[in-house]
Amino acid sequence: MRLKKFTILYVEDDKTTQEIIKEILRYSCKEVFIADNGEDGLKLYKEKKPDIVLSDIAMPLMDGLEMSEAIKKLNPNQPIALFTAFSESSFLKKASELDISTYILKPLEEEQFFNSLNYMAVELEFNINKVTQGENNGK
Amino acid sequence: MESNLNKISNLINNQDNLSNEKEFKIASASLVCSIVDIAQVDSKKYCPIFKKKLNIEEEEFEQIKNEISNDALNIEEKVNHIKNALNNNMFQIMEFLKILNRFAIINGCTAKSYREFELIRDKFLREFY
Repeated sequence: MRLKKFTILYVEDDKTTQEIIKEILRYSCKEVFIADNGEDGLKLYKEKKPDIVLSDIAMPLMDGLEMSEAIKKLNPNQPIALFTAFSESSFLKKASELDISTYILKPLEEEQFFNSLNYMAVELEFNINKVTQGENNGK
Repeated sequence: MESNLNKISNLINNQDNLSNEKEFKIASASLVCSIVDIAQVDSKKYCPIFKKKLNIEEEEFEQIKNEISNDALNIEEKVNHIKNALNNNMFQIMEFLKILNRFAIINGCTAKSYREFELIRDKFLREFY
């Protein structure tokens, strides 16, 4: 599985959802880092440098969009996926201004969830290849 | 953020990078119309984005829209047209998907629109999953 090569930071304040998704990700990805809010998520991001960031939007202390904005400042190419029910219109306006890779719709559907994660894995691989090709062309 | 989208816009705006520009425009406008359900919204508000991101003028878009409404949308066919027009270049295809993603979340997008985008995205990338 393509995802097995990559590490994921998963940020979610709801403990029940967090437990379910965490277990799914543990089987599918190389390593999973967990945070309960955007503030901790950002700290963990700086420490672990995960390949993919997966986050809820509405969270205490720092929401998923504020965290995404801070991460994009550190790494503009960082693939980020946000969970949304597409009913949080005030968040969506801000989200459309950020270069968010994908949105994962609630309620969660397993096939769509994995397709979205795989899409980010493909995006990552092509970004890596692009950098490698650029380096080789520069030699 | 704009820089990634601009890369494909530049590629699309430079006809030399497209093997069949007309086919590409019709196919991409068809897919966008399918995502945003253009029959239900004011298509004029999308025109500036069509121009900026896909080099499609307002008159051209209206013409394409009429052609689309007279023709049942075959997503598979449109996806193949776009892949061919972009010479199956995965870098360009990924940038194109970013544009579609952008269309899917602007202007009061619904979960239905986003599901439609996902359906199209996954048809482009099925072989990679």
